[in-house]
Amino acid sequence: MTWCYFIGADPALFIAVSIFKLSTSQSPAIRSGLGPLEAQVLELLWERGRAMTVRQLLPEFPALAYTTLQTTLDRLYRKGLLTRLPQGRAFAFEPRCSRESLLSELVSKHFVDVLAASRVNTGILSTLVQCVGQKDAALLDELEALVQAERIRIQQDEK
Amino acid sequence: MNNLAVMFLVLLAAYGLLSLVLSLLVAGLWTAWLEAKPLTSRGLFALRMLPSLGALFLTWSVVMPAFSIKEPSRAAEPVGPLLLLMVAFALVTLGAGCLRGWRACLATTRLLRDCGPGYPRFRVAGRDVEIIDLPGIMVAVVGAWRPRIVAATRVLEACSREELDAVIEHEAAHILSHDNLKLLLLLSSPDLLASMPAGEELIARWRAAAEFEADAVATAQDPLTRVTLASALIKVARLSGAQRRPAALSMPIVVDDVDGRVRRLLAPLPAANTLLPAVSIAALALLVPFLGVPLYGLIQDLIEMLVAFGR
Repeated sequence: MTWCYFIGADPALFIAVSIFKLSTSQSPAIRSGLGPLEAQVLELLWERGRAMTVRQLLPEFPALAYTTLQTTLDRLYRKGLLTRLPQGRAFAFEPRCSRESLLSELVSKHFVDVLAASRVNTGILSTLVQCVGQKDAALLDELEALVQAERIRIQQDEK
Repeated sequence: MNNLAVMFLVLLAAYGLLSLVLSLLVAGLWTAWLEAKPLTSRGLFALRMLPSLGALFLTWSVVMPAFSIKEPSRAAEPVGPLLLLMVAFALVTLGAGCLRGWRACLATTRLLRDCGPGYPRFRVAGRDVEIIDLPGIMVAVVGAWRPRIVAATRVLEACSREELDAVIEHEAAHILSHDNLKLLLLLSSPDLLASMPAGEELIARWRAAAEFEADAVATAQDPLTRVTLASALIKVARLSGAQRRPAALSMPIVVDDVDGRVRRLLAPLPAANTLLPAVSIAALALLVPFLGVPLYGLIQDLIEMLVAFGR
């Protein structure tokens, strides 16, 4: 987006370029700005369709160390692309959304940026913004639960 | 062209060349090594400002004395196209920096004009807070010279007194560390780094580090205050929704960094590294003019080559 502001390019041209980029054969994981390993792990989790631990995933990546895979999964979790479920003493990871949802989210985000840059039609913009806002709301719910748990822990410690 | 005019052109060209070299150096160091390191806002600020301030400092402390002492006085000297090209590059770089700074100031002035002088105020945590409903801003410090804390009515309604205290302490921490003034300097820094991805990343990382540090100052390592501020951040983020950050010089709480900040408030990390202590930087800066003295002859030869190239 920055270069569009910088050189004052026609937003319509930018939309056309964006759509062209989105319609190429790259995976949505790659398009969302993930590294190659992160994209591979995410693609594999989509393929399996269930939550998997680091140990369960490791045979699929024989060249990787356990810690490397764990770091990659943690990074995907922090980026909000995976959810984490406790499984024994470890965590099992599963994709937060389907491949198709991620693609549609990417398209929405792209159009929000483009519309904001061109300052046109705020009606359409607000609908798309609500789509993006729903994802944020889920994240904020999760954070609120963490805050509540921490508050309770501190109060118990004080007692 | 007389000596004074040539010196002016040489200094401009030297600034352009040095800022270009330092921009490439910083971008290379950032991409290869420093990007993965946890750095303080002060370290990130110094790194981002290095190309422009470093080039300015070297031009004044080394190039200008070398030229003044070693240049034989001549009535007139024609200059070559390479020098003029480098002067043009320096002027474009300086002009672009001024333009970015002017645009940021203009956006802030507009925002402050929208705020006006007569909005209701109330005191929170010993600070005056103006109650203003501006698009895209829930709570923020606005302005570089005389920063004002502004808060939307919805925030005051949603947050408890303790949460408001924590939020305003956070904004006051931004004022104490002059973050808006630093932001203006970062945005208007006249160098090539401003047009490189590494430059944008450095500013984004500086913003994030400044927020983390303001959180740490506001909570003063008290666990309950940390939880209170985290709770307030979530409430403000919910109110913000997906509104876009205004272009003005402000440090608003934005939804995209709330995740990292809440997690860090709940589980604080050890302090990040400063690249070099301020005393070391000052000592190094004092040494540079003296270290440059033996190089005056070489520098003057280079200047002569540059002035004469293509003539």
